[in-house]
Amino acid sequence: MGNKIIIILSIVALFIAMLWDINLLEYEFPIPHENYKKITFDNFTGLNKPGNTLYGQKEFAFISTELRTEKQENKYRVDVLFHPARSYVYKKNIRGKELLTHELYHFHITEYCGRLLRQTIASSKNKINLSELETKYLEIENQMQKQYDYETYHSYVLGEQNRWQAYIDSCLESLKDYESPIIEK
Amino acid sequence: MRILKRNSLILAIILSGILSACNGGLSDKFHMEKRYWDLSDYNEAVNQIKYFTKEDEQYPNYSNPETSPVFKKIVSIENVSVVLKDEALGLSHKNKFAEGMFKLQQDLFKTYNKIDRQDKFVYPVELVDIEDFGMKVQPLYFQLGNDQIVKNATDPESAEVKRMVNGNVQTMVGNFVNNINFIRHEEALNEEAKKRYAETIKDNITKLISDYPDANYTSMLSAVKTIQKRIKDAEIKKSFDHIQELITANIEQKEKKTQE
Repeated sequence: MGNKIIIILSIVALFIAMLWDINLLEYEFPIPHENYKKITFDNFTGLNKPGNTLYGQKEFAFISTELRTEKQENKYRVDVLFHPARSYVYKKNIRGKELLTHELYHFHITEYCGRLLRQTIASSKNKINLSELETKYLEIENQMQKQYDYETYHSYVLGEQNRWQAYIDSCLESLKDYESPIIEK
Repeated sequence: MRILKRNSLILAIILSGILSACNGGLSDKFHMEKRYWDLSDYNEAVNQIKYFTKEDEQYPNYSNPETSPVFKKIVSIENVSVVLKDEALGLSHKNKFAEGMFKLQQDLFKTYNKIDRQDKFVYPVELVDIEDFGMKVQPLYFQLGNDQIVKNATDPESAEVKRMVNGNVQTMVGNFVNNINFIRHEEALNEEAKKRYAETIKDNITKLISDYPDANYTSMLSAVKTIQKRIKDAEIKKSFDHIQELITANIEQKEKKTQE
């Protein structure tokens, strides 16, 4: 009987711990980049750990995005997704337009790196090592995301925020031909 | 045995709680993890220094490796210019920030303005750097104020607007005269502070005259001439000589223009 209680308690504890990673209670399916205009803070349903802040501040948000690759029969898929159940605002009543824009540009950076990867796959004449390519572009994305946050300081430096927005817009525009997640080979 | 194990566990928990409470380290009111401080961060930091520094402790200062980064952060002009020079931000927002920083600097000066039993400043270098910080904040603050006056005016070219704008510039010049007069406390400064003062007073006033050549520097010239007589430090004397030359040239140039 004692063992059964311990097992049940462990499962409950594990479930609760998982909630801080992905909010299964308010789960929403990942949103592809093509639908980014529909995203609002209401989609940021992830749970923040109690007392957790960004640099001691609560006026920030956290967005979870993913660059997902897959090889299908005679084509490749490179999806760029936003994970609502893993994204959260540090303070529930923060709904600033500027902050949402800042977070969405994190999503656009992931999309840009996704398009770079699609371009590489499309133009490659050699055998494609998808895992290696994914690692390479994830690293590029990681560096870009860090630089974006550092220079804009999470949109606090508005001039830099505007500059980055214009830059990312032009990057996406330059790879407009690689908007589709599917690359036929 | 079970009771002993349970009691040991309770004791360990209590001890670790006490130890963690006793740990030193900076107060979390100094938001050192943040790249830029906003006004509320500054106010928290200054309040922490003013009201929560124990009697046997020192304020954040350069000699203390633990608190030196705090003081450097407080007087970092980058933190101010990142807001006040950001053209994407609105004038009202920037003015509010600038006014807050201006008052904060004055508060900071009063806080650090302590003397010891030998009538020497307790924080001489820090005090000079607070003065320097003030001399860098003021031009940004006054310029923003003037920009807002012009922006809100029905007729920016009117005599009334020009009078207000020039009046603000003269107020700023008057404040810089106070920075010159600060050196009457020369003997309360140490050698490093004197050296710092010589550099900052020269650099800041040179920039002031360059940015506002049309201002009236007569009172500043008079202040420099008066204070020069009592200065002993060679580097400070040199700086004041340089300032005197600049102001004299400025006045002569204006007189020439008037005659033309």
